[in-house]
Amino acid sequence: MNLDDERIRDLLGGLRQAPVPPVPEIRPAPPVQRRVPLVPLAAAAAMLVALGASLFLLPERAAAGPAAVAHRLDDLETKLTRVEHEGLRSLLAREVELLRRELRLASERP
Amino acid sequence: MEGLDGVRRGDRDAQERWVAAWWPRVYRMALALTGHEADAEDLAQETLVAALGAVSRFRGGSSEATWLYAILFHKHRSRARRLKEERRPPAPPREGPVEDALALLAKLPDAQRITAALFYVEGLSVSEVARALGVPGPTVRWRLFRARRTLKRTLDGTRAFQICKEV
Repeated sequence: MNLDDERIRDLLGGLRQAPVPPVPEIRPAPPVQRRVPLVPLAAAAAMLVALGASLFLLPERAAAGPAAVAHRLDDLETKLTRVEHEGLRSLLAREVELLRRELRLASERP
Repeated sequence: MEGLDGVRRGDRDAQERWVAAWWPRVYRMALALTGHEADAEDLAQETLVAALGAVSRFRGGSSEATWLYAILFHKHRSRARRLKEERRPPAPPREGPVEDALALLAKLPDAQRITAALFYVEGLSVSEVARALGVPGPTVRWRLFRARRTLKRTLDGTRAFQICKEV
């Protein structure tokens, strides 16, 4: 405890001499009845139901057939010959590789 | 301090005794924060009303003082936000130890003011202040350091001014 600390403690301690007003009559606040917000709750439930229904009812996206994949592959291979940028070339080459694999899988599928 | 069991049960006498026991300390801290008697009275009342309403949820994880000062500080913050536009003018300058203390505290920003008041006036330890204010211990130490520095500068300035006046 240094001198400054002592001085500050002494001075702020003056607050203890503050006259205190008489104790007021204090009663606990009556408990607030929380109402369930019905409208937002109903809206949220409806949205959930709609979302669930959409997952079941919407048609699945059809998988691309081998012809479409082959077409896309040709397209990309043609593009690849014209691209000079190294980074872009490697990205396109990666996509070509993936499409070749997809084509192989599609042709093996019964 | 009055036990909390009766207060929790809703016993009116126990509640009154409990409020009477805490009133001076809560009021003093409210005065340290607001600097105005009327505001301090309102804040202390709000704090004790809220504490009585929440007493069933107080499990004794901290001391009653720490818990009450936490409510007080929270109430002060919300009041300050609410009353931002209708802030009272500063109290007229008066003399005496209470006014000296309030004038010193008024030099500090809110967070440092409550920290300094709890530490120097209420005599809480750093960890108790930290629990009451919901901040880590190092934050309390840092705030005390900053408050001490500001107050020391103020005190040195005041002393220099008095010496000049005497000369």
